[in-house]
Amino acid sequence: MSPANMRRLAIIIAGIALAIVVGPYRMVGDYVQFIVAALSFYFIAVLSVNMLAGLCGIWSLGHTAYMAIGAYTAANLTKMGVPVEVIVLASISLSFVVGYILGLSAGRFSVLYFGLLTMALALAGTEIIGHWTAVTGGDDGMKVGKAITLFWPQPIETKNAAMICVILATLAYLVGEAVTNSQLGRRWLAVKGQRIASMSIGLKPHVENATAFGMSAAIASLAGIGMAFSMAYIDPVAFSLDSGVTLIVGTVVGGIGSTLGAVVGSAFITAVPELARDAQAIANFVYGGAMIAVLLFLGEGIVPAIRHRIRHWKGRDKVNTNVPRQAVDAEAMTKLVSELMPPARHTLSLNAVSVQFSGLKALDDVTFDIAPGTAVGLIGPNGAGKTSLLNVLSGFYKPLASTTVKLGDADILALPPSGRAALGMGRTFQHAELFPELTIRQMLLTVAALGRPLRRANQIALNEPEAVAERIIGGLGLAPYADYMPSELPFGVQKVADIGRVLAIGASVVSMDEPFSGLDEHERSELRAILRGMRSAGVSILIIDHAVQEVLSLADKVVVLDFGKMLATGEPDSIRRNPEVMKAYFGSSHHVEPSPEISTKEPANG
Amino acid sequence: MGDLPAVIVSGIVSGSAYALLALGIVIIFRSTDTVNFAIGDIGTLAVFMTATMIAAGLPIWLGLIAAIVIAGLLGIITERTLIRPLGHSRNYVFIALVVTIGLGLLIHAGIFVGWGTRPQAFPVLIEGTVKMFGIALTWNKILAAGIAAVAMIAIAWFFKKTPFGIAMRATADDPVAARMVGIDSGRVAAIAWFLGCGIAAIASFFLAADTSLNPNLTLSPLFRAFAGVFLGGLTSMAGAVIGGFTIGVLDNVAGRYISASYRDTMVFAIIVLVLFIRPAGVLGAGRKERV
Amino acid sequence: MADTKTKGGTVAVAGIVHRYAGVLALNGVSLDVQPGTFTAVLGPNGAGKSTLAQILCGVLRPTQGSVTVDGVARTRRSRRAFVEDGVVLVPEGRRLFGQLTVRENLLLGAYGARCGTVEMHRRLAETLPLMPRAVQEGQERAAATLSGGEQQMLAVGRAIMAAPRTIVLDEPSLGLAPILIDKVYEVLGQLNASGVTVVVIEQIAAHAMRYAKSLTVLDRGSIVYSGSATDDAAEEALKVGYLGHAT
Repeated sequence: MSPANMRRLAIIIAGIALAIVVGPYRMVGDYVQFIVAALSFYFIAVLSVNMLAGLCGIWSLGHTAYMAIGAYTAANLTKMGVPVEVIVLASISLSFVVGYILGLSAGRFSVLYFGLLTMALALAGTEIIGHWTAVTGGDDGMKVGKAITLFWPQPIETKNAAMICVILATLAYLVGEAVTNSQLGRRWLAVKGQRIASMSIGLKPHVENATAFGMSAAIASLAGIGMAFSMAYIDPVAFSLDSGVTLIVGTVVGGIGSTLGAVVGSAFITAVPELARDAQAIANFVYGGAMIAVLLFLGEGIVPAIRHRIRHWKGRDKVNTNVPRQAVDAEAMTKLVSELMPPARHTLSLNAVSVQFSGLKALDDVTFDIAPGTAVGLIGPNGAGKTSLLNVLSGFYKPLASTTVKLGDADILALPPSGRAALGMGRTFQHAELFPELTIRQMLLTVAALGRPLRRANQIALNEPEAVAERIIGGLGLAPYADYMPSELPFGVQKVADIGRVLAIGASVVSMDEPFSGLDEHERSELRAILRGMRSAGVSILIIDHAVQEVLSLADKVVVLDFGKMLATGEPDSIRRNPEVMKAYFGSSHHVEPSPEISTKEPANG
Repeated sequence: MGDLPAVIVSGIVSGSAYALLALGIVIIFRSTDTVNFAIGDIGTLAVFMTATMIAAGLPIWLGLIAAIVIAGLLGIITERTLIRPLGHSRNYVFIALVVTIGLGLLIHAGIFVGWGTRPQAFPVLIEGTVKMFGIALTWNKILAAGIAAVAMIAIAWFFKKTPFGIAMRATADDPVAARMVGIDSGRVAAIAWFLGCGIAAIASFFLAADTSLNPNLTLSPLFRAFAGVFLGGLTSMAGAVIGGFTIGVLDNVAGRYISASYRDTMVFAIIVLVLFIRPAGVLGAGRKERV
Repeated sequence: MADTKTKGGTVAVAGIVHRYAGVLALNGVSLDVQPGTFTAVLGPNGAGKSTLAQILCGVLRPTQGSVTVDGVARTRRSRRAFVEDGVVLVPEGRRLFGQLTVRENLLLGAYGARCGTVEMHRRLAETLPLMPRAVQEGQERAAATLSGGEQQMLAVGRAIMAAPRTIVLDEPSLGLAPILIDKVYEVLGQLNASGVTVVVIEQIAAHAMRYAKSLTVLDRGSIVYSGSATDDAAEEALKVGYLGHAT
């Protein structure tokens, strides 16, 4: 059994054992039952907030609204004699839908602003609760009937409802763990870390956010159900703004993005006030002081701080950057690429590309083709419009209506940024833009899974995400770095990994933004080999770079932009001699001398 | 709708407290990326202290100055001892937020121990009322709005014209570059917390003069101030002031003409609407995204 | 202001080792910048150039080693950089205060050097003539609205406002068209002629080599050449620095 499954089994056994202890056999007293119930439903609530913050970077101050949905659903449905199982299904569905709709807009706002938005919703919720007396009982609260379940002959006593809370908490824990360690969780981390790059691999950030928010809301509603049954009476104060803030406290104190952190955090917000209850005068001193002390001394929260210390104590070794990487040669690269994707079949044609910003034309009537399996270089002085063109191709700028961009017969401009990956279009980034919270292996695994339909459609034999990721790691010489986070790796390795990402999605038409920038000569020569290898495997490449010499030596065709207009286009040799181009770069018309650091190794006309 | 001018005027008057608190929140956020939930409590504690001094014979206008200075110093101490040691981790904004929540609880407990739970009497600055658009406004409120306006103008002048004010704006723009040109980031943070908490004390002072002095003095105004901050833009000082006043007016208008019991919902519905059109607030800086 | 004219002429680092989160960036670097010289520090990307620039100006505190300004140890001080000591950095990517006006950006340069209001405006009047037209005429514009070349000049101007004795520029030519790079170097040449020590850190050698008298080549965290910029040894050192010994 894998360690992950062992863990799951251990959690299930622990959950069932605890449920039996607090259950109807009266093995513990009422007070213990009450405390276990409170710990359980606060754990569920904190977990839902914690998961959302850790995996998506979305902070909700209004998750109490979903607890309210769960609680009032339970209260109303028990009156009609509906069993707990159905109540659970009803309230998670309802909360998921509400959360999904709200989550769709998360990307529009900065983190704090979206927090406010969720808070506004919770606030409106409390006013609604106060006035919609038929369903909520208003400010007086509402009685909850006994829980009926399909698996137990008689209704469950209120104090024994702790059992329900424990079972729900165990379920929530399992779901939390499963999401964190799955493709779903990795996708959310990708979107959280690099929104733009995540779109380039075909993810739709708003859909990922909405799904996450919906799931988190559904989990939060479980907390409400547990609360309703174990208290037998719903007090609207439980869904006030203060409670929403308390969930944030639990999240931060326990540790963000950690299921275990949610356990510790919920224990903190339940137990600390409870322990100080006998001393009303100092209760707030203890609670406030503990909050500050934990964060001042443990930084990221209790669980991550302890983990960090354990790792430090074990002495995990750092990646060794003094050993130069095994360089990739062009031939091996060609082989790697042809195993992963078919040669490009369609011409990418840009026709009359024009972009306008507040009356100023950033791009004016730019027209050129990229034939299958060729490399086109795009050069031009700063402000020439190179980046704008890339943004049109990636879908972030909307060009004027006269513009058409087609890959074969497919109209690229009709597709959102995330839709272009499915056609086999990919891009790399000037600053690599790897996903900061995924290791190289996790990133490749995630992207390879997303690239599956494309590879299947092209009848590529190698298609299992694990196999694809392994092949890329081996082929690009990334093995020593595969289990490290991008921030731990040298920049050159990050750039190679960025190319790995394009291979994993299976893109056969690739735009590269400044591939040579930030690389030393050693890394540049390796990159040249990689690009040559990709091209001879039939990948169409658009290279946009300031390193003119590199572009001239690699490209089959070069397009020169100046002030948004096409200044020249043609083979590298003709561009090199073009007086207009000289003028744009130097202000006078002398030839582009190969700069000394490159000329000694590779003649510019080679 | 004949009393609309009156409703607006009284909205502006109550909005001046929100605007002051909002301005304080923004000044602190811009300098140290900290959303200070304890700003109202720091102001309230300072007013409790000065109330004791006033009761012992301190002239009331000196009391106002004392409140500003005490709150400002408490702000500096908070930044030094609780905020700066947090460093700059990935989730810094929310960690700092929870620390200030904790501080708010501590201050509450402190006031409870020092002054008990019963509201304290607080002297009125000027007696009497004046009729305006058919409603009676206390001179107290009008004076409060006037002093708030003076404080805001002084702050605007400070940030626009003095070299140190410009340096503070530069630090908000790019803290690393500010250090590179020789600006002392520690001093910038200290002054920002002093100013932010100091103007919060002005708001607390007049809120106390208006009603009575109690530990929850700023609870609901602070909440409205936050609404104003988000409406105007978390990074814009002018936006915070406009936002604060707007909330004051909206709150009054919604309460008078729509429904007193759905007041908060109405105000927030309008903010949410505005945010969907301007996701970073009316005057806030848009998000920079690297493409 | 006679005082500032004598401060900060000599910056020296010795035995510098620097690590970022454990990754070695500089490994035993020693460099003496003589007063009044024009020094180019060249090397491929990842050689540790920016790290060295930041350490020279007190923006970054090295993991190990000593930094001295005018012979006085300055290793421990880094919160306000060495601006007051007459050593100023023009950082990579310019790092202007984009939302502030052009004029405010310039004034801050002097403010950082602890300079009074009168002196501040005197320096402003002296610095403006060195600036391109857009800067001179658009003093109330937000700095972010300037073009790349104008921004680079403004960044140099902001540094000049501190009346430095040593000015360190980190990749001033990055992202600029050659014609604009020439303009930046022209101003640097003028500064150097007036007695200011100039250190340029560059990846592309061409422009820096035209002005620099002394040269330091950095490769993978170590100095591989330090000496005159004009003799054959320098040319050989550059080749080795960029290409390795294989050629």
